[in-house]
Amino acid sequence: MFLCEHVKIRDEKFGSVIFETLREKVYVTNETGKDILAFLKEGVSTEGIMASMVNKYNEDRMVVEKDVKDFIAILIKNRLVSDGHSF
Amino acid sequence: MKEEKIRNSEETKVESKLKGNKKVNTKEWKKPTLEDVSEKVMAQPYIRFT
Amino acid sequence: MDIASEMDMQAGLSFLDYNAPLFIAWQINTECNLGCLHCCEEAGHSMSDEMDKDEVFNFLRQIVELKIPYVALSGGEPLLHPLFFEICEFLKSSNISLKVETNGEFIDHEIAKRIAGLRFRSVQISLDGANASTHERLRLAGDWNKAVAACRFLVKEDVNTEIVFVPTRFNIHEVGELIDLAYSLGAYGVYTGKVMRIGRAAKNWGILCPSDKEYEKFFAVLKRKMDEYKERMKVYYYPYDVIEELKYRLEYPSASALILPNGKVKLIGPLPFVCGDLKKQTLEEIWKNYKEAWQNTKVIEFAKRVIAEPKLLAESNKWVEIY
Repeated sequence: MFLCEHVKIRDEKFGSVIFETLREKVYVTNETGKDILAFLKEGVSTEGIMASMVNKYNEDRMVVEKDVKDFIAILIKNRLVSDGHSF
Repeated sequence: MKEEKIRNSEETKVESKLKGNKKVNTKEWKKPTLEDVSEKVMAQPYIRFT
Repeated sequence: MDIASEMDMQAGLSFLDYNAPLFIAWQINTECNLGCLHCCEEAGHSMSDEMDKDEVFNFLRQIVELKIPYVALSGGEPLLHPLFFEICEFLKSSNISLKVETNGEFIDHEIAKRIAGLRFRSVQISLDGANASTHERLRLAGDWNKAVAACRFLVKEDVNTEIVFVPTRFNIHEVGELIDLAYSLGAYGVYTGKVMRIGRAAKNWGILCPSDKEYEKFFAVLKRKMDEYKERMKVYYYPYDVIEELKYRLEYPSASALILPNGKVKLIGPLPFVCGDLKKQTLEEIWKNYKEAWQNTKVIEFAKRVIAEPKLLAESNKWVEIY
């Protein structure tokens, strides 16, 4: 898992701003999204991110895993991250 | 240092099992969100350099 | 909706939520080899007080420190700036997305190769006609063949090449052919919209501004071309004029900064207000000024006057300091 070319991330008070500069698309995410993005920036796999989030947050494993998967799917759909074969 | 991290991690896992998969002293989970704010914060490329 | 009520909404929707600008539009010079009838910046000769090398690099370091993700360089003609490549190299080495807006006339094979090596986000070339005579009628002293050649050199070197077209009475009828030409050149995209009544365009408004009927046809062609090139080339047009943009930005100022060659920072193109000076203040301080300026009664009242009387747009380059 890696960030697509032209994608820049900056931390803000509210979470993170994600800027896809080629298409000039600006997205914002909350604190949880910011944590996930930090792992994606480092090239961590979805499984690795889910394990870390489960450890870090006070929430049911199933809920965390589903939310992380859904979030990553949205990032892929918006061409912000890639798993190398989605597009 | 590394050993300590591993031990802490193991303890957390045990705690999770004991508390029915709920852990203590960890951050509150909020569903991660993604919102497109492009139009609000970024002027269109054609009109920008005016 | 005013800025205060917007604060209650989702974080990140307002420019007030950001620690620093997301985008820097930097006019690095006013020197230009052309004298375009529609130039918003009234470019030609250099300003006597443009930022010197130390000031330019001081600013560049602040761009990096504040983690600005995206910078666009324009002019004048940016490739005439003696530090052009040094500025680009600094930004790229700092992993900042970089767009360059140029007339293309100084891009030959060697320059295109150098640009390709720097992996810009894109280079935008102005093409105001599908043939030399139309382009050169509007872009005085311009050379259409050189601009087209620049596109070819850049595309050959795999540089994302964008084309911008400004419609006027002289050229509006050629937009379809221009888009076909852009595609044949291998451009990444074409941008266009209505000509903006600013700078030299305001002075030449009577001879430049297309009629409503011409605009109607223009947008119909654009819509058709957008569909025709879907999935193959980005055809992007902004359907509103600068007054509509100003109305919108009064509610939603953009999270960006418009830097003039002398280090002054403009609030927005269509208004004359300057909210800071990089020679005297940090970018961080100016960003605070920028946020306050959009709530300044003088700014709001003048913007409303401009909206009511668009000919006041001609004042936009007579700067008024509000910091």
